[in-house]
Amino acid sequence: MAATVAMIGSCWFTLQARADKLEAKAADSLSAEQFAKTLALIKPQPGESKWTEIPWLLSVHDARVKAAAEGKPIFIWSSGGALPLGTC
Amino acid sequence: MNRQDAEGEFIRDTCKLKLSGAGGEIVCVTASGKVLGGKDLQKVLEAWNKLPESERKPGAVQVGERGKIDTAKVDRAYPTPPPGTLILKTHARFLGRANEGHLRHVTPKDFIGDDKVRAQMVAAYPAAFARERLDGTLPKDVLEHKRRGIAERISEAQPDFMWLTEAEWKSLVPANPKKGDQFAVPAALTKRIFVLHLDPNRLVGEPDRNAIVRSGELNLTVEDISPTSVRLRLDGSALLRVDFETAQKTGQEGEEARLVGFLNYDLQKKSFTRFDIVAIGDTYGLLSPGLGHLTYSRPGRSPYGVAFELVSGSGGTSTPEGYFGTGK
Repeated sequence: MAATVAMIGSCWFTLQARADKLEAKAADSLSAEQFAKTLALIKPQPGESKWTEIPWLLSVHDARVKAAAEGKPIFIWSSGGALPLGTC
Repeated sequence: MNRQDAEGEFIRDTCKLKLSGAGGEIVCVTASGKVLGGKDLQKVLEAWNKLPESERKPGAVQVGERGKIDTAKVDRAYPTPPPGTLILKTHARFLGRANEGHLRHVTPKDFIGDDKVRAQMVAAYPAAFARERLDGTLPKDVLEHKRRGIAERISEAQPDFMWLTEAEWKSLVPANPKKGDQFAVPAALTKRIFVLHLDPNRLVGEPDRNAIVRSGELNLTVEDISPTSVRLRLDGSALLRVDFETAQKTGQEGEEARLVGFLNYDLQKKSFTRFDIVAIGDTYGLLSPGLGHLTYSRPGRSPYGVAFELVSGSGGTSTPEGYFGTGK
């Protein structure tokens, strides 16, 4: 069984590949310096994605306890079937 | 909210709320369950300040015990990775090209927010843009709203996570490494990276994700070995759906990407201490037309980047706290 699974796995890309599949060219590879710069370019920049800096609570009950203790309202963000961090 | 537990009861029965599904919702309530409003936080604050101080002051509301919780729903929503899971934080981002050809961040002008870009896209895909009234027939204020949405939503990095089971990440550690050794990343792991993390066109409930990968490979090379660590370099490429030339002729969408990564494995800790991957490529064609994402589509090649980084502390005997959903 394990051998069969391995065979299917190794053939998968062969069956899918086109005759003109992309070739890995050394000239196209990122240098270590370029890599670091590109990584930094993609990641959130200062001031972006500020919602990720909020210390979210994952329980309405915990939010109620904190809100009641501090005398503050609760901001609820739900999605994906009202499961904020679950699958959509 | 369909949870049949204390949390669901508070939302449904106490707050009298029926939260929407996939589209998401923002609502503000008091600890006692009074609804204050939605996204307009100024109005929420006004409603809050109108409440008697006896309802607003700290300690005024007694919340009580937690109540019964549907742990199955909680586990599905906030799954706990199995012990030893290596967790990668990912970010995906639409990019642009500066005049010199260097990659840069996008602006709304790169998308239909610019009249020239919109005209090009309408000319290339008249039916799709007419169907969503992005062909110039939308009222100006609605179009402006979409432009702001582009600026706010898709100009920034989109976060996600990738889990590698202990068996998966251990399969990337060569048994007896020698400098220069090369080996392929297991096909299943490669496919998962391509299918779930490279594709900006990923649709909800798309029937056959496997079919989107036309070709691709990921390989690891042992770059250096020391008594304490092994350094690996990852190189690869991916072609999703169709190539650019075919897309230009047929109107289909696709993506070509190159991947480079640097991985460090600590021989004493028996865990990865670095697991950084960058995928850079071009998308082309219409993006998710069925989901109204034409606003993200651009003419020609659209640069796109994905970054993978190790969540510190993962891939060992415990799971780092707070990595998932609490702002980290």
